[in-house]
Amino acid sequence: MPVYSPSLVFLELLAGYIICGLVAIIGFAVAWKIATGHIDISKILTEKDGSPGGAASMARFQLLIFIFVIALSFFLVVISNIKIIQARPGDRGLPGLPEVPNGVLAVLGISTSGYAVGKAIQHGAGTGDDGEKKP
Amino acid sequence: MPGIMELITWEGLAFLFALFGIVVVRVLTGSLRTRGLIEGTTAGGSRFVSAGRVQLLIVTLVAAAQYLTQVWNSPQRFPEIPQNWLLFFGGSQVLYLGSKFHGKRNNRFHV
Repeated sequence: MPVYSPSLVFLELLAGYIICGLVAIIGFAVAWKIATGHIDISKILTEKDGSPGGAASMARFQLLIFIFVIALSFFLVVISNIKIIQARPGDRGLPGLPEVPNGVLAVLGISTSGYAVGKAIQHGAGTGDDGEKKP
Repeated sequence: MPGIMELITWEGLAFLFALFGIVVVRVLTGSLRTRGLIEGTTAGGSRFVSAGRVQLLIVTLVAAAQYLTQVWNSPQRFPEIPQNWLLFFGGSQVLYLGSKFHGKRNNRFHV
């Protein structure tokens, strides 16, 4: 393993802490703006269905749930991999970023396709613009 | 002073759980509209509980909870999703979209 000078190690740590601090500030600002309503998320689940204000969309809700699940999973897997790499620094067989299995991509694909197909049906499958049935 | 890895871990978890918490609180207080999540509307405008939406909601929550439990228990890599789960999930989606298409096509209801 290469040996670095203490000043370089200190610089690396300092840069790491500064980047961590910046990301924390940005994350806190985003969360704060969402919590206080400056970033409006009140309509992220709604779709137009003719009723005043619209109704909640099942497809949007599903996508929201899956995005949280995949984001948390990805974060946990990355952290776990980094801990393994730190414990075994000489091991070259460990991946940097985890591979996302095809099953996860398929679930996200099904979910987003379902949203797109639902939109297509809602906006006119079998009907014209005036709401009449097509022959 | 905490190690940089611990800092990154706590920072990431705090951000994700803060976003999740904000969404949950807003759903519970009603400022994020979930009205009509499991309901459909008839052509006359009256609302009814849609079986297609309810089954999709249950399948979504069960699949998400099951996957998250697997990752939490062994976070070394992404767990594979079994083929039958994919079929189950795809079937549920098709059922929901089928009922949506049927209602729209006959102009009888909207789900």
